Amino acid sequence: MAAATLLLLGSAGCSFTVVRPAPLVVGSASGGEIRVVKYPAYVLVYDSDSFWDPHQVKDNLIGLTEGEIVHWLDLAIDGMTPGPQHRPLQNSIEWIKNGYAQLPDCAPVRIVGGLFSALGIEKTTLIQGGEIAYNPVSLLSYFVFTRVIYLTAWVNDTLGEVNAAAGHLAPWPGTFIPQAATAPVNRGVDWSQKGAISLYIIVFHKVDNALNVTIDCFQKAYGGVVGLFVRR
Amino acid sequence: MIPRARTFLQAIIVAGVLAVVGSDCVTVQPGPAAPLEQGTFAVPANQAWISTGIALGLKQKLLIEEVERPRPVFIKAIRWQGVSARGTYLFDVETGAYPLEPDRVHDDRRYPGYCLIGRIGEDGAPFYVGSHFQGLAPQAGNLWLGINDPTPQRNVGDFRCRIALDYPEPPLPAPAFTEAETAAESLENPAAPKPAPAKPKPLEQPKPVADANVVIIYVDGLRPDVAAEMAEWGHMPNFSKLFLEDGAWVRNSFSVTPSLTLTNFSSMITGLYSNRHGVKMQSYYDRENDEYVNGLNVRYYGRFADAVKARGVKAIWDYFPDSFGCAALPYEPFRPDVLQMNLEEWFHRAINTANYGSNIKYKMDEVQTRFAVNLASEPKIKVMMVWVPSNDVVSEQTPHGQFGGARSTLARMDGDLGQIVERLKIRHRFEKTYFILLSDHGHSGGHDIVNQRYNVKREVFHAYLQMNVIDAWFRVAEASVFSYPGAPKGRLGAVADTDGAVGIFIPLGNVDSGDLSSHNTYDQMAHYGMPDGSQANVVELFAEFSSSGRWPLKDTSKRPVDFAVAKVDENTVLLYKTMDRQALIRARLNPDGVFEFKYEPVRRYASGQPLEPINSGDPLGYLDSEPFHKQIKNVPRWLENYHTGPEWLQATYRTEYPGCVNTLNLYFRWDGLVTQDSPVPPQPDILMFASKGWVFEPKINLANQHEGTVGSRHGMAFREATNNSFFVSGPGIRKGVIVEAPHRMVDLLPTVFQMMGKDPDSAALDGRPIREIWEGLQ
Repeated sequence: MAAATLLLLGSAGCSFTVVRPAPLVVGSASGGEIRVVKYPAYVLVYDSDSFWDPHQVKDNLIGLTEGEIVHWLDLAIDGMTPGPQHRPLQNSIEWIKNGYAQLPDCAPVRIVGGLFSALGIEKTTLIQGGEIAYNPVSLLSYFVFTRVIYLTAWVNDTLGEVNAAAGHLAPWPGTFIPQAATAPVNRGVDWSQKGAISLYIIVFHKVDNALNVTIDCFQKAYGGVVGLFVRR
Repeated sequence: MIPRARTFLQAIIVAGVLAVVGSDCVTVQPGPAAPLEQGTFAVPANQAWISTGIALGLKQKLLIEEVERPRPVFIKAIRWQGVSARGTYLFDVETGAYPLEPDRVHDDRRYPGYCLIGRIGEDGAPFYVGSHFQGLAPQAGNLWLGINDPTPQRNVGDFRCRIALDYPEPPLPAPAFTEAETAAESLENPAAPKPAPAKPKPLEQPKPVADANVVIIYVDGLRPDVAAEMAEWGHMPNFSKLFLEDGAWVRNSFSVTPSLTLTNFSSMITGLYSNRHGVKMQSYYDRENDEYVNGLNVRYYGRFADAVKARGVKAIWDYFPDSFGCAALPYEPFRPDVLQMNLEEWFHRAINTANYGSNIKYKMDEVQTRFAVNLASEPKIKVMMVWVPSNDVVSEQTPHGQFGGARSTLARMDGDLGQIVERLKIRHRFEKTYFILLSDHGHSGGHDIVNQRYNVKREVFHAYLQMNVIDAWFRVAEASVFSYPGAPKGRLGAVADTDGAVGIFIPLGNVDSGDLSSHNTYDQMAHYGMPDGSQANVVELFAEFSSSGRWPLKDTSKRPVDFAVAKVDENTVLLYKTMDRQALIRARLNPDGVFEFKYEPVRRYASGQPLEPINSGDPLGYLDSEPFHKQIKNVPRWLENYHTGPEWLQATYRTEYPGCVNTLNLYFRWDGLVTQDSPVPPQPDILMFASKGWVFEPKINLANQHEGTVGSRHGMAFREATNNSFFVSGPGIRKGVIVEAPHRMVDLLPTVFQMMGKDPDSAALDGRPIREIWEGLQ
């Protein structure tokens, strides 16, 4: 029963097509006799371009988890106003970022800019927005894997800025804690951060591949079932 | 929760009210007609045609120029649908055919909608005028002007133009001075004056701006002639300003063969030919692991990057380890160079640009540009690469490709380019940025002919080898193998890739050996075991036969296969067009460790037999090519000797097969690392190229059932498919010039090195920096 249900789910939206290839008429390479190759009909159970193809449905469900509040609001506003899309909220945010980038390049500007960049408030997704609205006091509501990594990078950068600033007060030249000591730590932290992001992407890719293979298997089984009823 | 929901509802209501109020501003009312200036003519946009009253004689000179107006023509009276006489590719509110191209499928138009058009006489064939027309009247009669709009009645406004019946002839352009000519003169012409011995001067080096950025816009499959035409017509203003007015066009730039995306992308990012990076094809039969790998499937994303790394080859991201950033590329490592510019961020941005996951593939240019704007805002990123693939996809799916349906994609791509430039300007990075716009290959078909399909699986594999075949046109669910009815399961061959080049994988020695672990030499394939126990030359079968028998020998222009290439020995490949039209390409290393190549046109090559040279009809057509003779002068002497790759490129860059000699040979070599983790990269037994007008693709296309027509394609060895776009702009780069000296894909990376102040000689690349683009170095 469970297998049948999974089979149906995996093949949901699949209309099937029976393909009957034309026979192949072969003139012999050495001349003379003619041979005819007749192909059996086969069943195609997927449609790569269909919105309801299970692979596409899977992609769209994953994509739903990434939809930003800002993006959905923009879509709503654009949908209600005639003419080309303007994405007013996104453009406003970009306008603010561009404006901030005009400030002089100094440590406080970099630290504040880096913090906002790491937090990525504007990237809050609809699902996460719901979690925050439901439980605003829980830190878990704000948890995003990449955000944690970016914040550690920001802390690292900020400590570097503080170290550089403190170096001006110290009687020795350079940073307060010598670079010979901080450089290996920085390299290690960078390596770990990039490694963590890479691992995250690799896992995502593997899971996606596994889901694709699973859907393929269900489609193959579905095709096999349909094939039983097709006149070859 | 509830107050938040209420606020959200209020916002929607306000937006709705604004929308209703705004809808009054949608349409444009016709205003009073502006007075006509002396000598100008008004073409009302709400009439299909209007007679100018000007009578023209046959082949009389005619010049029509648009007069700029502050108020555009409003199509269907809609405020945001304003156009000038050049028309537009950016919107299309019609469903029927346009008057200029009544026989074309609606989405496959070459000319922009709503542009100014002309005809001579009431029944004359319409022609494109746009904002500037200069030419001869195709027939005698009255000149009519009109708008390329099947339903013009609701349009508001008019085009204004000046019409003249004469124009000054442009001066004849001086013949281009090229490196190739001087090199050929000095190398091969015994009559050429010997240059006076001069003291060797140290080569002057370009002086790139300090703290430079490099932005590489990689437009998949963009034909340079199409880009130039669209720019001339005014539909790619950003491209025109940045590259044609303020930059240099390396007009004779060529891809490596086969002109397929992943092979050329690999050469682009490594500066090496495929004998050193190992990416021979986009899909292949993995001989080590007994697995068919389709590099265009997302399942294998990252695999090619891993393989290149395992071969000890450095790519652009390795050369700029802390400052390289990219949107999604044809392949790339999962590890980012700059932390926040990673593939997860790309995916997040992609969803929020394309709206939903399955829409990303249709909105790739928009998605890539949106991420590129983020890259351009990140000061840590000094070298960025943005792949915009939609042109290639649309070209492949519309019959006339870049002379049809891809035009609107290109017009939008120009807007994308404008966004990236704008962001760099806002962030004060523009002045220190070098821009390179290049494509990985050209495209064949669509201009004068629409391509036809040729199914190599049915026509040869099934017809003669009676073999099951695996190829790229499948999805794992079914039909992963295109079976030959009744063939044993183990009788398996493979076809790598599609389009204009395919790799053929067959078992060692005979169809039933089941051994795909190593490739056959030409000698083995010339005596290949067939299903009935007989022997045949399979290279001949693939190159010269279809299921109907041998293609007519005399008329090779109608054959789908241009020529096949097979490996003879470690240093030699055979080009096979017909039994009597063949050539050997031999390679050797000169004392400096540089590869040199010899091209020997022969007939009926057979191992161990004396060679039979030919004087005409060689597979690459060099013996009968006027440009080749002009370039080389003494052809027999040239063919007697070995020459380096750049020398061959210079000798052949004006022929139909530019620079093929070295890349065809190198394709069958592997000169890189061989370890347990990095085996010899798989290569096919036969590499086959399509003729003009043909593509290797099955009619029943299992991977994409809705692709009713086949569009323009690439992969072929001839000029149309290999001439890639290469435009450069930036500080110290020459402005408004066309560089004639030939170059190729592998020259990108060393050129980037030079822009970034790195020594291009430090990495032992196959490419060489393009010096001719720099001011003062031409």
